[in-house]
Amino acid sequence: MSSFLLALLLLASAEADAAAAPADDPVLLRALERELARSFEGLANVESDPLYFLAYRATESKSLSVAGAYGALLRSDRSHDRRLDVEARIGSPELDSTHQIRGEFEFGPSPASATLPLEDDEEAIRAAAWSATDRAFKDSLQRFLKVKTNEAVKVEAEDASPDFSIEPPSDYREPMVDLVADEERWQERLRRLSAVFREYPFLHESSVSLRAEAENRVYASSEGTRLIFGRTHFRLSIEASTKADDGMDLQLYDSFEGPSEETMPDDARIEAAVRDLAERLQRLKDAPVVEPYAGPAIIMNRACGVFFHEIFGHRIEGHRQKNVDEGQTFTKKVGTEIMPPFLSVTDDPTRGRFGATYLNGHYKYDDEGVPAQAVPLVRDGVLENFLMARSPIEGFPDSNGHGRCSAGNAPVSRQGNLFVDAKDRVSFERLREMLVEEVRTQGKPYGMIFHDISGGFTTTQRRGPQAFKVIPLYVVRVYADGRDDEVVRGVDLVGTPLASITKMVAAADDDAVFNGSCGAESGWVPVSAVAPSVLVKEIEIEKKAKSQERPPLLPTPLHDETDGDVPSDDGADGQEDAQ
Amino acid sequence: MNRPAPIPAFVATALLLSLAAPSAAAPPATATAEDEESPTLAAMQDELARTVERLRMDDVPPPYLVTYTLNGRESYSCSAQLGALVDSEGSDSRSVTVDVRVGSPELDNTNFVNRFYLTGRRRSTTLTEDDDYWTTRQRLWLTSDAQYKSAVEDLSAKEAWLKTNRVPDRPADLTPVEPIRHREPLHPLEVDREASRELVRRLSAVFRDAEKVQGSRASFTTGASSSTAISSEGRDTRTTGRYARVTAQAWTQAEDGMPVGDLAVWYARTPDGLPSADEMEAGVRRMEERLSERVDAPRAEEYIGPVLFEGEAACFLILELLIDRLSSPHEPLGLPSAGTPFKNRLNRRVTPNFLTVVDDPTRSEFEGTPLLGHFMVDDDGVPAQPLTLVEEGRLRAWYMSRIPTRAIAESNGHSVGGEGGPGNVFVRSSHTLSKEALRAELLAVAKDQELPYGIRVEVMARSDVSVSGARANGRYRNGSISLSPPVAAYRVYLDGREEPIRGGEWQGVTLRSLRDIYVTGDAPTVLNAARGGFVSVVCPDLLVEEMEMKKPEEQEAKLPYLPHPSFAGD
Repeated sequence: MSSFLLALLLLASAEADAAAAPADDPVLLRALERELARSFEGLANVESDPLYFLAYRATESKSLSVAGAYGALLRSDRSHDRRLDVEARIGSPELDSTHQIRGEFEFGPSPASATLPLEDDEEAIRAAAWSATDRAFKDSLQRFLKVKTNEAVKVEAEDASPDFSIEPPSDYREPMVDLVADEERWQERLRRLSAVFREYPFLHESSVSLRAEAENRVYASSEGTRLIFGRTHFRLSIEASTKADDGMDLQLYDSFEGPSEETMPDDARIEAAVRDLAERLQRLKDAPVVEPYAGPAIIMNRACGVFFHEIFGHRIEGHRQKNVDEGQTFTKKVGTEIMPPFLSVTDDPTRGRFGATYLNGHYKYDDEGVPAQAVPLVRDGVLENFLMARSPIEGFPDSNGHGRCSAGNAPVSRQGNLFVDAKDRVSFERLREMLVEEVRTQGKPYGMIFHDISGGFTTTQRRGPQAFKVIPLYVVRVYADGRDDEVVRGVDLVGTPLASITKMVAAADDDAVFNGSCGAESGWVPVSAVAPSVLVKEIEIEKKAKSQERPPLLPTPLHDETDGDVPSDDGADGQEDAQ
Repeated sequence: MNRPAPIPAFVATALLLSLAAPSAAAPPATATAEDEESPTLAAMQDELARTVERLRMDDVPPPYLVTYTLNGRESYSCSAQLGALVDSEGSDSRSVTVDVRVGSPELDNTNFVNRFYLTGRRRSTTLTEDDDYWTTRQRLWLTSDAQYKSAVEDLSAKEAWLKTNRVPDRPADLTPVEPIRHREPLHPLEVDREASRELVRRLSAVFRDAEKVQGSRASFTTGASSSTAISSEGRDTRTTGRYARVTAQAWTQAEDGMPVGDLAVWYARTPDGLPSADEMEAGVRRMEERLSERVDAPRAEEYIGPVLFEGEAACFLILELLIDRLSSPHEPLGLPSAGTPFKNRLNRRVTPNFLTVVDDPTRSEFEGTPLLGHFMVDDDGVPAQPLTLVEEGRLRAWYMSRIPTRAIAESNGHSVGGEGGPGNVFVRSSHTLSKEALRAELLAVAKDQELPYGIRVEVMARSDVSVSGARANGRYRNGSISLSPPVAAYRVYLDGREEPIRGGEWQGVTLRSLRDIYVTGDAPTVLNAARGGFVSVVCPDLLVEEMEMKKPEEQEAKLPYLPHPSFAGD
């Protein structure tokens, strides 16, 4: 019960903090602190099982979403909301209400949530927090009963680690951030830039859109942690789709990310990206369909980042090592070589940039109030560490600041900025020559280059196959006999994680950043992956599932020569000016 | 379009990394800015012409009817709790619905359950916020193409099914109608947002002093919509609608843990038409008092006896017992249980002979109160008309769209989204009593049945505003109706004393319960409600001779551990 004493001591310090809080703290924090103190005091010992930890995580988000399609405004919406998630832990850090109930399927822990008033009214905020706290407390009580029964009837757990790590309290307060975006200017720009797609008659759908967000998090826990920090994020996305003559649906995406309006690209750069996307989609539409293949390939830098995120990153998330439903690919492999010794992998959310490029997975504190840390995961091929939230596993008793979630979810360990590093790098030209040499050595007609991967998914659980599937957007065949490279379509990249990584043989010196969002049981969180292009001795691809629908019977009305009034390019411009 | 990374449902923990396409959460659009020169309308006409002339495949029939419907919706809503704003959001959207039919009105691709789905569903596509010509054509092009292809497949599946199944008196698939041109003027949304926010702050602040109430909310919403349709059979219609609504909801638990809630609702056509803020605040206070009084009331007990439905409660009774049952009479192939439960009772007695029920969507108000169920042309482009549903107790019709049923083939101008549905319901009675006499009659019947009290119902649970502890229902299955439970009901003892009832649900309600209506009041109440479309019911109080109420379940949730922070005294 020593940890329980510790919790009580921490409570005392929390109350002292509340009393000493400066008067100019935001009303939101003050209201939450007061209700937290009252609730923790009132609920800690009201039942025979103690409430030993209580935390409030409030998320205020403002967003703007503007999109243009073919020169017209598709949408322009703003939203503003405030949510509260309550985490109430009953029992003790050794065994608490969050402990896995073996034999029962749960997608992920879910906190009690409430909508908070948008206005800084202490009474109304406290009323909402009160009712969410009551629900969280009752849910945890009920769950803890089940946990105790489950522990009594099941075999001894393989990993007997505690449920919660003790971490020093943090106090960090930033001014709240606001959303600064010129909505009207974006409307005008996105109309204009999306109109460029009109010149490409083969397209079915297309858009150019902006999503801008400002999010403030206010965190207070019974351990005395107090945090206020914000994040702003802008993403400009370009997308287009069409159908090949055999019915295959094809789409391509591109995006730019940054922390503010000023970091978004200028018109010329966006227009170039729009045209490049349309031209690549045209080549893809006309490309031959790929045949199933196993052989050498290069995974280009950004694609390689996604590849590592899926096949490696998700499997070294700490909580998966003790959940008995998980495949636990790497659980017992600490200290052993899991990939070729020229490779090292680190997750470092403390970095905001890679060279000049913004990193989406950057944060200072995680969603359990723990400071972000750089975590070397693999050094020279040897597994050293896991991504840890406050759920300890055997040999890793502490959090390393990777407990993350989106509003409405409870945190679990997640990736931030994943960096793949390699020794003995070569230029990309040399890597390409090495690919051709490998094709010859293996006696294959051609090798593959994966230029871009849109994302993918992986199953880490035991009940599913321990496999992954990533969706390459743009794949090129490289012939050994000197023929020109050839774009192919309909490719799905498949395989099992360990086998794929061990077949990597060399890396180029062309590191690039993939910025994206990652969805898992604790919601969508911003992430980045930074990696070089990598040569793989053997990779397996299969044919993508394909739509059986014929392409449209009539040509697009934009370019239907037999229809009266097809717009000329001038006409199209004229119409925009009139908007 | 196949977007990347749909998570297969069977994958337990599916983790994905994608280019996080911004959540397509929010719909677009300027609902009501278009006029006769609208580029969107011009695009609809041009693409309709191209589709009718040229959309076809070899060896299969071309479309025989193509309809495009442009739906514009503009709305603003806000809500507050304890005087503080919780949300405030405007929305604006435009979409177009495409209906492509293949075959002939006698036999087409619709009205058939093709394994798992009902064929002939129209497809909708979102349009740009801008009133734009080329994007509209682009969307119509792709949607018409997809609709045509599935229509062809559905028709051939239906023909194959008909070869192996015998269907006596199969109704045709579509009633022919005359070409129609009808354009209503557009109404842009007019709302003073700050005044609306101030209103909900004020109404919600009523609960700052309500010690027995655990949670509460006041909300305002107003909307304007338009529906513009053109078709290859000469339809050119535009109908419009507007509404404004204020609601207050409050919820708490009784000492035994039972959840109890209450509500207050006001509808009008525009925000200006709502009652004054003072009047609504007084209404919210009355609701709070009614709820606080009921928190301490005894639990409901078993009861079989007379029940007096007053005001809006009587309107809801008629809605759930009769009107809902006469709606959606659609009898698609492959679904023998479909159709109205009254399908074999045409011209037979369904209520006492002192009742006549008429639906007249052409009326826009009743004695100064707006009727939101008003329309002049229905959603199939058929002129609205007064419709006698029940004449002196006998069933004369049900709600018909252009989908024929076995007993009634013709449309009667009551299509709500393509299916028969209500507009403005008027219940008329020739056997009435004054309010006082009706309450006295309740006690007389109770005394006659040797009961200590009768039950009077003021408010029923409703599907357009939720309330804790009483979930709206109204479902019909195998001859019985799960009538929505009462929200505010009272025991009226033989000496006239009243006591609120807490909990309690109806049971044993069937279509036959309509015939237990014993006598009615002499002054009608007007109810406006949103249930899919808007519906209005004008109905007098109804005394039902025998209804059955059951006891609430014993098991209840625990009370909150700590007192409400506003009344905790810290």
